[in-house]
Amino acid sequence: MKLAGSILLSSAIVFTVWGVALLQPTPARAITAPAPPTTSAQSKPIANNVAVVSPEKTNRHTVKQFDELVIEGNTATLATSQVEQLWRELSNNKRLNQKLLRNPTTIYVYYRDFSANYDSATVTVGYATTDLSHTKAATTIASAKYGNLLKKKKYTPSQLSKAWQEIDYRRNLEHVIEIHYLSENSEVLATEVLVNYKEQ
Amino acid sequence: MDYLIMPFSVDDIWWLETFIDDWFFVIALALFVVELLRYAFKKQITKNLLGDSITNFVTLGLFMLLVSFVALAYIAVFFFVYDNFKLVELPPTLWTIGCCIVLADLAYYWEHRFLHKNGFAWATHTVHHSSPHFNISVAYRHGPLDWLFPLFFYLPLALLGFHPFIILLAEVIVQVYQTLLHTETVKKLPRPIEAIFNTPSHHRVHHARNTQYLDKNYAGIFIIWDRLFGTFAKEEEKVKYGVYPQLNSVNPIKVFFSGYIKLAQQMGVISKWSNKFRLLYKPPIWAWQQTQRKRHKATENTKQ
Ligand SMILES: [Zn+2]
Ligand SMILES: [Zn+2]
Repeated sequence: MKLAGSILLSSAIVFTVWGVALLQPTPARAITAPAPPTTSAQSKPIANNVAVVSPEKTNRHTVKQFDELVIEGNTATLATSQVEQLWRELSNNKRLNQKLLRNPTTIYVYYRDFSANYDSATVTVGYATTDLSHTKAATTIASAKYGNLLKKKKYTPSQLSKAWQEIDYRRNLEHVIEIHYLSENSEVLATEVLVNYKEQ
Repeated sequence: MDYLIMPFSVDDIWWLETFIDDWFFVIALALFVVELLRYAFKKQITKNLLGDSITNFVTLGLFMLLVSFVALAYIAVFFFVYDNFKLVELPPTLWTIGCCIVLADLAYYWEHRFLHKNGFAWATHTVHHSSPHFNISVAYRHGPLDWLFPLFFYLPLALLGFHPFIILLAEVIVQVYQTLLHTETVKKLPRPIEAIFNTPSHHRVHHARNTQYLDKNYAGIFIIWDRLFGTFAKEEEKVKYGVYPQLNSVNPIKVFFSGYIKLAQQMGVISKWSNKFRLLYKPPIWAWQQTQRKRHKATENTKQ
């Protein structure tokens, strides 16, 4: 085969194999960080501060005590890739949003009861009840020790989804909490991700 | 099938990569001892074979020394492209690693073909080919810039969303497989294997200086690339190893820099500047033809 033909065929092979790689059904890829409701604020360029991840640096998360917290929002058991849907439901949830005492400073996304391959879970996206005038059908996040998967900082969506890949899926994953800190006009200022595993 | 999509942590992948890197060398050394015993049994051990083998490991040492200076920068380039320009992000699963190995192997094919077709690149790769012997130690016979050229061929994988550690792992797996091919102990493997995979037989052909074997069998793991792209040759006639003209040296320093010394000499011989520059990118055969022509002219002149 001529050189040009070989290069052309090679490109075709590259795209085919890449396609196969993209088509894999995988919990890690399905779990993408949800786009917070104020997506317009999110799309602002953010300084890229992802340095070379040295193998020593990763996965050494600090442990943090998380105190019991009651939240109220929209809950569903769904594929973790569809959490965005809950965010939409929350921003359309008139009944709940009318109960807000002030602009909420935080939104919690609480994941538990993961399926065996971690591609679905029961998820609540909601506000702390302290931001609400009264509560009904609240969800309690029990106090526990959590690993700090992402420290409180501003992250890009891809950094957030990368954090999910750093979860140690060989251990028994129990809860994941994403805490999104909001500004006065409901832009996400910072995010923190906490994770804990079942004791073995 | 679940194990295919079970995510690893990238740290595990890094660990696996260094684990293979370290332990495979020990295995290769053991295999080399077996080869030496076989040569001893056949009374084929010569002073030149021993000297050549020692030289091979010395070039490895020199190569590793250079690598230790550039390794961090090499990895950083992959992370830079991956963090800033990746088109998608592929999860760290066996599935992804499998795809990456296939693509890394294709990249290896093209890189290897390039090494043979570009004068500047050949000057480093010629070191690997310059041994008149063929055993595992030859696999470790490296030239000074052997680390540089893979970068350009593997980097697109980071763009496609393969994590740098996965790319490095795939690179190491292709390399390790390639290393195992450098032996005369294995004649031919069963036909289906010879049809799909690169084998010692195919790679002996690649190391040949017999004319019908020149510039053939560039493959890493899969020989199908050579079959597809028309660079395949089957081992039939007995292989004569080495490069033409032969190097005839077991001096490790001389061997290690032989390619670039020769390139500099050729540049000195050629008078036109544009031709000097051409030496850097034209295939090595062109350089050879140029110096032959020059020599031919010189003898013509002395005749007159
Ligand atoms: Zn070669
Ligand atoms: Zn070789």
